[in-house]
Amino acid sequence: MKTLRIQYKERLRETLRGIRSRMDVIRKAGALLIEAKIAGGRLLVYDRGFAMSLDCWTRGSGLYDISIYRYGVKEFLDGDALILGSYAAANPDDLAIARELRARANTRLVTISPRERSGGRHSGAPLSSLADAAIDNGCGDRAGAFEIPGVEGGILPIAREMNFTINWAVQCEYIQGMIERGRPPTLFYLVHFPFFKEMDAIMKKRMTTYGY
Amino acid sequence: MREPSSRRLFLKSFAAAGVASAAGAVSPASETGARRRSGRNTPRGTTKGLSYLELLEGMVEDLLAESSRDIDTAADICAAAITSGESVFYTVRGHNEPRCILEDRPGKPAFLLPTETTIDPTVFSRGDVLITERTQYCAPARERGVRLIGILMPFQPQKTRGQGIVHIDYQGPWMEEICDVCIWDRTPYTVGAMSFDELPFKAVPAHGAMDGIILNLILAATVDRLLAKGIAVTVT
Repeated sequence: MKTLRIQYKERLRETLRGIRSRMDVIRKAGALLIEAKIAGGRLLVYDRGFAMSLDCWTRGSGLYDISIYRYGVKEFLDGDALILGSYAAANPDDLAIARELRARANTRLVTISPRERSGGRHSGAPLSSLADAAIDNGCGDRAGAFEIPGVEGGILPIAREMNFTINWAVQCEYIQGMIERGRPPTLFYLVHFPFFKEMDAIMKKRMTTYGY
Repeated sequence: MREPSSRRLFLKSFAAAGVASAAGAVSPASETGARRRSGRNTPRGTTKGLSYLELLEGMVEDLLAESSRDIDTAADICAAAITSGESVFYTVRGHNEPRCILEDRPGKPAFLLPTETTIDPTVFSRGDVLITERTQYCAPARERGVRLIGILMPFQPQKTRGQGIVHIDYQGPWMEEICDVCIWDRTPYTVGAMSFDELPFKAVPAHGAMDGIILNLILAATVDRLLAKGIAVTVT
């Protein structure tokens, strides 16, 4: 019987490798965000608990022009693009958020979640069916938690780290695509670096001036 | 147009590398595999998203190859504390650390206790363990007899890693000296890990995932030790 540590290491490696095989969807996701931004839409991110959202919002070296739905932004507008992270294929709350977005015109939805349900735990279609680009996080509906003898219930899910990683890979595609279209996006300057206030004022002005 | 000679190309590359290094664009972090796999010099046909994934995989491989012993030491410390009835805390402050512990998902070992966002050192008892990225909590915890496991991330003052421009006047105490064991998260002090033309500094970090992976590796190894001793492990 392999130790939990070895199982964790092996699943971590395997899942990271698996993400690479889904680069076509990751590229598509980046392109969708670019389309939305160039058309004047907002770039939004959401996940229950806001772990993934807070990993990229006001993050030093992350995008300046990204907002968290239900954290700062209270309602969707026409043209919005949303990155929605989830640990389940068909969580009812996440599905409700996706439908809320879809009720507006010209929206783009990128989901990062398990692609398919593992069993009849939820009713209705999976989250991926509502998405323009559905990126499977490769973790299954138990969030990549481990079932081991001696522990009741899954332990140490890996989905958080995988969702973070996929989210940044999508944003890499977005940044590069925006640069190629002559619109290099504004970055958030690390709050701990010297002259943060001065740099932040410049970055804010740039983002406001150019809109990205 | 005449092609530049290989000697001229070499000198040009060498000069560019020197300038980048002097400007701080190359950090101590990049002396490892993270540099070899960094987003710089993206090969033709490779997109930045793929480069980022390769970079993160490289950081994980470096961590697994170079920090296994430290993860063992950290797990030994945690398991010994739990076996003795002491507590294992983890600091929750910043972007992702609180969510790492408290967010709405199952699977956290119940023995791991989140601190408040601002730590009152009196919560600690002698023999407790604190896993932290935050330098400022180490000395007060140590005074209470707490054993310390440090996760070194780029914008906390560090003695031997990422000697950049943050906390330039910091004189200590250093995590590397005060903690029982430290594990570096492989993130360069630039914080951003990827270079893009036309952006003023490196973009796209990785320490949110890396710090979570380090914590989970410590917890996994701790669970192994507890189960081997016949101590029950429950999850939230």
